[in-house]
Amino acid sequence: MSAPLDPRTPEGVAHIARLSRLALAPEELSAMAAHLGKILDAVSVLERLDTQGVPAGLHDEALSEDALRADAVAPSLPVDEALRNAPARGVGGFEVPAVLAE
Amino acid sequence: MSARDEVLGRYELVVGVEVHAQLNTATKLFCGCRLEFAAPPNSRTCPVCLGHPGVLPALNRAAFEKALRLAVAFGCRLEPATELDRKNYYYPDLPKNYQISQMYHNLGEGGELVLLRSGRTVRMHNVHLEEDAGKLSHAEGGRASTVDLNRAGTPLAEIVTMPDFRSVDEVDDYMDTLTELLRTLDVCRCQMQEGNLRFEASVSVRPRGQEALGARTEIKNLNSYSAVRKGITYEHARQVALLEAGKTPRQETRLWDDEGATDYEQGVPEALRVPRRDVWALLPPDWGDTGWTRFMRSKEQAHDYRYFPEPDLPAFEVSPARVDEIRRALPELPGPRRLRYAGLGVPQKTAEDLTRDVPLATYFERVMALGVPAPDAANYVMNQVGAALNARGLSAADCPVPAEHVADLHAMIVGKALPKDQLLKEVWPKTVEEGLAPSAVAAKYGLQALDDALVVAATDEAWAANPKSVEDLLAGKDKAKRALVGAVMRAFKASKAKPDPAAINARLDALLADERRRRLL
Repeated sequence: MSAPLDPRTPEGVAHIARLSRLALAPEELSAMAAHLGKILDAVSVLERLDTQGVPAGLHDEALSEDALRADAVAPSLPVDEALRNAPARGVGGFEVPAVLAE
Repeated sequence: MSARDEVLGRYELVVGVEVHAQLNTATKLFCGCRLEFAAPPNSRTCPVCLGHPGVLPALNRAAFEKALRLAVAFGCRLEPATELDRKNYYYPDLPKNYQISQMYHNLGEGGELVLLRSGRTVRMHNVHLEEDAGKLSHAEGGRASTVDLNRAGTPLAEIVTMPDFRSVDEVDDYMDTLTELLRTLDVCRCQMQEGNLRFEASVSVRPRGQEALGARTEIKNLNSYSAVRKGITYEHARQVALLEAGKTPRQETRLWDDEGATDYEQGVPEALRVPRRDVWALLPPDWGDTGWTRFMRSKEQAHDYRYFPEPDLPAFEVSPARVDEIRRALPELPGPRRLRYAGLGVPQKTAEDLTRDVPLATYFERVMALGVPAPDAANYVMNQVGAALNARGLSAADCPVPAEHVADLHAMIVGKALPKDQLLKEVWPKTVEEGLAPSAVAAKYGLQALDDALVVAATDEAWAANPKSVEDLLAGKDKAKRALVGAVMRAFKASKAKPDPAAINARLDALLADERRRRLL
């Protein structure tokens, strides 16, 4: 894979928008690039921290057995309930626009 | 050497294999929905596997431990902690719009597997844990597809090898070896028709002697053992045909298409295709008209999955003590087990058949533990027990006949309680049907061995009463012997006790030798 596009540029924003299935107008791309840049700058403060010699974080709870779930069956939703928010229903399933590839 | 072999022989086939093995847990990877093949669509879902907002995944301990067991069995390097990652993409069968998988800290790295047939070692690349997506179905010509999310969140172990295979036969060997290992470890049911085991192959070819690997094709949709073999065979031929035409294969993803549902090389630019007949010239003569890989996407169109560590799950500790514990608890693996059985005098082929069927091997071990020598125990288990199981479509785990009855049968055969033939053909079927021990069957039906003296007397009588058969026998006509045995058997028609044909034969041989000697004098 080629190097990731810089999200601070309109091209980078266009790429992320496509991956996120967002339709952005050309003028929105530049505005969004500026917004994203500010957010990334704010977060990048963390990169200045010296983490040399700090062991990789292992959540405390991971050390206890509680973090894992027993392989025990729990009730599933009734089919009608599971499909309640479906935009469309086919035979027993969520109906979506035809998918032919893959 | 045929022209085909000669052309193919100039290139080396290089294959790596990826397997998605469904872990045989009761419930899904992150929720308590029951895993059940062919349940009514969307009847095994809950807010977690439907990807509703605000829910949190909780890792299934059994799935985690089964995947760990597999990594330990391969001898993978295990990090002190394993983490899960999000793989982001949009597809209707993926309700969360991301799949929880592993990218940065796989459960196991490296490791190896010794192939059972060839004894060659295949290096593993990694073993990791991930969740399955749902199932999309599309009616022919319809404008809509239907999504069934019962499968969404099913635990999978993804098992990736290094590009270590050089022939289709080696891949075949690997599939068998891996299947046996997964069954022995009790981590996967390996029912390919239920999609428990899904293969992908990455295939490239290079001129013999060249070090650098050629561009590889990833073949998806290999949903049977035969599709794996055919998909690789086809790619081998297609890539060699390209190189022979002075063209260079590119890195791409292809789908195995058993029926040739789309046109040959649809959507592939001229620079990357050769006439169909050039590929067919390199395929086996019995290939037929259809069955090819079709182009899906090129490297340039590869997805950008934006992996990042899964924030809803902690890292999970894999302490060296825990790994040791798992290693010590591993069952005997198929390779060593085959060797041990062979060492006990079990024929090679039988040792392989037993090892392949874990419940049957367990049953065999129980029969041996009751004091039956290994070759005899293997014989009864493969034949008498095997026939009873086959007739009922049962696994040895549900065998209706306890191992003790097999040991009883053996004791009766060795002790000559009844003729062996009668024990196998008359007593054993009743043992299976009635659930009684063979000795109890014999008692119930009043079956008992005949006194040897009675058999000898009846044989002598038949000898005297059938001079024609005796002359034929003396003239070397072996058929006459069967007539004489039949005559003796008929003499006991009304009797509950049946003579042992072996005893009659022995007496006939003695009479025959006497008669020959007498005539020579």
